[in-house]
Amino acid sequence: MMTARKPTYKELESRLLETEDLIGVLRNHEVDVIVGNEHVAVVRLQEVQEALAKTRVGLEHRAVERTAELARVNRQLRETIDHQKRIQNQLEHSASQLREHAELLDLAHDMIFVHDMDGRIVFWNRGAELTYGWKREEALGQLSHELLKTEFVEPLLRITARIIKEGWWEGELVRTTRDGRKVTVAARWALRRNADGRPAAILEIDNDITARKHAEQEMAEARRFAESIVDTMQESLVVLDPQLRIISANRSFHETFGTDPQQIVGQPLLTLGSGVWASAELYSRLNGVLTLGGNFEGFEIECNGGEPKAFVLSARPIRRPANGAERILLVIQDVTLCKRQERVIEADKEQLGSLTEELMMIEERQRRQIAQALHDSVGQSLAFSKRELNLLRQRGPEEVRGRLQEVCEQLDDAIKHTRDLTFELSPSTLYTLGLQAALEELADQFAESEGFRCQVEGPGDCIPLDERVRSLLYRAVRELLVNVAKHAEARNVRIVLDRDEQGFRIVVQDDGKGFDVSALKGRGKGGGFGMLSVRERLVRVGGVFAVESAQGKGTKVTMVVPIDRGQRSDWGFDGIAT
Amino acid sequence: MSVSAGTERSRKRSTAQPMPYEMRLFVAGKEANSVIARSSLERICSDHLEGRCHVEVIDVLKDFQPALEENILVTPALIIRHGPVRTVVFGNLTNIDRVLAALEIGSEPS
Repeated sequence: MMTARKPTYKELESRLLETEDLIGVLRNHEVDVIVGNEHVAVVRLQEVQEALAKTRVGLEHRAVERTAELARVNRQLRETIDHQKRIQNQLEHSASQLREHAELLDLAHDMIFVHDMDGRIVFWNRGAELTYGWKREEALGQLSHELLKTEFVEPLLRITARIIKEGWWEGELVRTTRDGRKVTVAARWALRRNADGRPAAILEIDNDITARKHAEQEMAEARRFAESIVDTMQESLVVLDPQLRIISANRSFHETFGTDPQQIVGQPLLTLGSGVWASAELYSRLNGVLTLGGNFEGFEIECNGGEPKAFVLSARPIRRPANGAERILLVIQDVTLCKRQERVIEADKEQLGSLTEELMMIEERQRRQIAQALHDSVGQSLAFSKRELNLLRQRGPEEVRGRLQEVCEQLDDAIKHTRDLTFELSPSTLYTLGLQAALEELADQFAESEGFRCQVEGPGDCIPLDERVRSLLYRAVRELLVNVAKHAEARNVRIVLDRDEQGFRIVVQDDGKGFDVSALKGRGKGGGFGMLSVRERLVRVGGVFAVESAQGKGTKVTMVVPIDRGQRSDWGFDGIAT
Repeated sequence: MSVSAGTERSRKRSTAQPMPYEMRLFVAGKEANSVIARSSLERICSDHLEGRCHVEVIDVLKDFQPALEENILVTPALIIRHGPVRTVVFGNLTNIDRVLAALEIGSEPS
């Protein structure tokens, strides 16, 4: 085994010098290659310098890049700082707003409080203090629903589950205040979560709707009351929308039309009753209620499907300014019975009129018979008796002549009364010489007895009138002359007979004091053959009866009878339909 | 001066008796410092060691084994053997004084 020889001092000094020399040449770049154990590495200064230059360029490039990167980072940093500053400002602003909101919550009339998920109150605003009665310091830490004795409309567990799932809940609750008063509130709950998303607290906002609930109950009661009234009405009421679809109807409607209250809503009105309501005029009128703003009343409609029915319809708009909705209230009155009764009354009236006419005709005939009898028997007997008594008075003794003279005079009176009575019962002139002659005779009689001038004007020839009409007109003129004598205080009376294409006309005109024509309407139909009776009878034969009068301006009465009716000889009582 | 050089070990040796200065110059082909070192050594030999030196130039690019044997790690490197003294001078030998000091000659006024 060989042992390394220790170098001498001279050798060490020589190596030191070599080493220093080596360091010097390396520093001066005087080295070409470095010799290793397995290879030789060439060291070229130029290449090294070029490499160094390249490296320096690379470094400079990297430095530029790095500088740019640093600038970018710096800019980002500044932006981050600015952003953080803005966030800080926003946070400060938010905090300020939160403080303001918290103050606002105290200003709110609503009861606002917050409780944690255990139900313990952590916030209690001024509104809650005022309404519920507990101060903030008294309420904080209390279990809210125990404190307020909350009555829930649904189980609290379900509400809690919903608020955790959806984040909110709203509904009506009943709370009890400190003094035991029940308060109905519209409650809105909102869930607040932690930063990690877990439920942290529930904000409850209560709006006191006790007064509103009372008002709603009163309105509901009023509505029920109104509906009960509407349901008791005999008229059918139905409310329609602008498209004429049924919104609601009362009980009478359903009873009348056999409809189901549950199924009729939304059904078009005009499709009811197998289309019998599908009247174009009804459709037009109902549309006009809303579009033209016009009510209508008394529109009659008859339904002949099945049992004949008659209805009278009235409609008016229902406008609701609150929501602008427009509806139509249609009132349907079932007048089937009324119509039926009207027809019966009309028939009865017609029959009564015919009977009256027959009675009057019978009366007229009886008058003629009585007048004839008076003239033929009593009148003849009285005339024979007078003639015989006159012969006896001339031939008899002086002491009985005076008495017989008195008897003859009484017989004269009786004969005159008999003649007047005969004339009054039935003037024979009317049936022998005609209406104008009879009226002239009547006029002379009134002029003589009542003291006014009475003049008859006419065509003169015999007007061929039916006997009943002739009698009717004669009696009518007589009634008018009686009225003139009684009330008019007239001095002159004109009776004018005329005929034209329209009919036969008689005008009776006086220059008396006149009267208020409207008073005629208020007077009863009594009084026998009065003016109203004259008018009714004329109307029955298709005629016209017109009165013109005014205070101080006399009276003019015009009566017109159609020629064809007045001249029909076969027109009798049996000819009038009943 | 005698200088020897060979392809593997290029040598230029003067014949006859051993020279007082035996020198081995390790170079790396035509590299700049090696070229300068050759030139400098030639000038030193011609100026100061005329006829008293033997120089062997070894190109390590062709054969670096002698360098390893002489414990030479960089080129140019000049090993000077003067008697028992072995001195190594590194570099391109442009510092004449340092070479002359190694030769223990000292600078002489030119």
